[in-house]
Amino acid sequence: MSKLNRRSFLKAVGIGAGAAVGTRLAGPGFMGDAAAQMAEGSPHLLLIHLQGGYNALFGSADSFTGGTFGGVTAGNSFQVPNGGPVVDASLGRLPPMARNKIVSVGVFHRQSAHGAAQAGGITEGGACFPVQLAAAMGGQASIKCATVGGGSIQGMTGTAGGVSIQNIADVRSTIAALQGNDTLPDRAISGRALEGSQAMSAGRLGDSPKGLEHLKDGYDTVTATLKKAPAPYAFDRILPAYGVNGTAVNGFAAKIAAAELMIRSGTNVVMALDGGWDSHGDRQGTNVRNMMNTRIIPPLITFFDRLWVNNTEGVPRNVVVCIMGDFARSAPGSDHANGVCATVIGTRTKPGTTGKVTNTVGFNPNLPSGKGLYQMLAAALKVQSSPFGPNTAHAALIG
Amino acid sequence: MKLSMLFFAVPVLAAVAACSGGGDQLTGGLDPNDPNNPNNPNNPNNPNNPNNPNNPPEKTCSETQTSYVGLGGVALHSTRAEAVAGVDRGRFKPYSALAEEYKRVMALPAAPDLQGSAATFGQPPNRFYAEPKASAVNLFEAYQVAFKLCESNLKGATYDAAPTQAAAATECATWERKFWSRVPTPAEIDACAKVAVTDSVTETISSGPRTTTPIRRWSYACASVLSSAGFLTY
Repeated sequence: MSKLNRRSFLKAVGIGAGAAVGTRLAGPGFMGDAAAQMAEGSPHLLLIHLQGGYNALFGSADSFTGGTFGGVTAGNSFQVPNGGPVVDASLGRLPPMARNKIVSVGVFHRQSAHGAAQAGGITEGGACFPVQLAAAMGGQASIKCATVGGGSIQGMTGTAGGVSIQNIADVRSTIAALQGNDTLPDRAISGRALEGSQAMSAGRLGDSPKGLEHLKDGYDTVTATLKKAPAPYAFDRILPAYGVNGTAVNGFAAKIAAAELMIRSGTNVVMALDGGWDSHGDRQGTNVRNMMNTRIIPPLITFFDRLWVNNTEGVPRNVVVCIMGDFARSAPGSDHANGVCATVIGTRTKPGTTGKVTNTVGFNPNLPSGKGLYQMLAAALKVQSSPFGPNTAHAALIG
Repeated sequence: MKLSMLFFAVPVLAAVAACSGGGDQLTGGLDPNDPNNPNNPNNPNNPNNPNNPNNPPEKTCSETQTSYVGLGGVALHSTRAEAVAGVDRGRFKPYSALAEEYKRVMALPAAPDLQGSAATFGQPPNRFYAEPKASAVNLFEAYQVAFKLCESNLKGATYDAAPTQAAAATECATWERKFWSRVPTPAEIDACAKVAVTDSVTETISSGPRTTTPIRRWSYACASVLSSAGFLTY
């Protein structure tokens, strides 16, 4: 976890104060019909996983008001209007159209070791929920499930319905694959040549069906991508909007920029991982608030601005964002809790919470594990045949 | 008989006896189709028959390893891949090895500069390690890198002429032998030759279709061999 210094502290205080003022100026209830119309568009999920943990002060701030854990005050929290949860003011900095759709979703996986908790959030019996969801969402994209900027959490693997997770490590190469240009080898010929490569690889792929599964998936996906017509969107406009220089996807802003690129190219599920959230000893939540305010929220504001508020492309999309982590942080030492309070923002979400924790970060024992979250996400995305079953535990969070 | 003669005679007699059997001695003296022949795949007692109850399967990692529980109460080996030892061992070559590998198989005077592709191939930061994995994007990057290398380094009269089936088969067989360090099968040669002869005749650029130059047709095929598992994995 990064160390707190005077400058970062003052910056966090300033941002927090600005956020608090902002939340008051904008007021509740700003939610036009635009979001309802977007809900009818093609579904896309941006899944942000904070590796190490996602403190419940973000999604269940009022659990800690006046207490000794989390440093929650009226000034650094935000009441989502229309019966929504009380969340951290950092989330209140999002554009009104997005922040007024915030819901908190309880995930009680009962795991307090990092790896087991990560798996408890996204797997059951070896099946990886994001991959299953991306496969169930259908669509025409050749890359249906992607991770931007690499990294991995336990359980983040596997194939479902021909869909696997493809890493987007460099935007330049991705745009080249999606669009091509006259200086590159011809896309269509390259696609046929790579089909030839795959045919030449049959023996070795057959000898290592698990060890080289990613290579087989890679051949399948790249040949499918190169068979499609070049994507028409001017992808090179995306990076400047996020203040990103260079095409390598190695910072959080670059990851969200890459996520926008992939969503505009049709990808169903995009996963963005961010490290540094194993915040032991951060009893007042100062460090995690600082990271949220300086690293996570700014590119998310841009993301919502470009895909929700000012989407001038004319392509209707139902974009859902989910922020979660391994587990919440336990009181009082900000150690490992055994569940997580996820934040979900979607055009179909109805402000509310199933993730409110006790002031000692205890979870409702009747809450489901990660599968319940994915039942809810499938409902928010309006997936016709959800592989996770009906959204019962979190039904109240869908409007 | 003197003792020294006995020492000499025993091995000689043993050798004679060993060589005196019939032609089927090494198969147990039985017809290969004889149901009692242990080498008959249909014989349930065949030691090579995986269904033979007397032939236990190869032990997996969890059956041979010692278990240690870590501080969090979780077994240290709980996330290890479970598989039979000695199988499924193919791995993707790391980015750090690729430049020298291109130099080696193409006999280049110097390793090509692939620095611009480091991020795409998932090069980990200094002093970190990440198991390399293929993806759609880094495979396309690998193909582009290979194409450029082939286009720059294929020299000679062969590559000045459009590929024919015979010429392509010859060149493909040569590349595959060099790039993979093994003799290719006819199907593998055909897959490469098809790229040169059939798949790459016409390119499409922003101004429309154009006839592909001979060197680019050869390069498309050459790059297809360099983008196959024979080169990209070990």
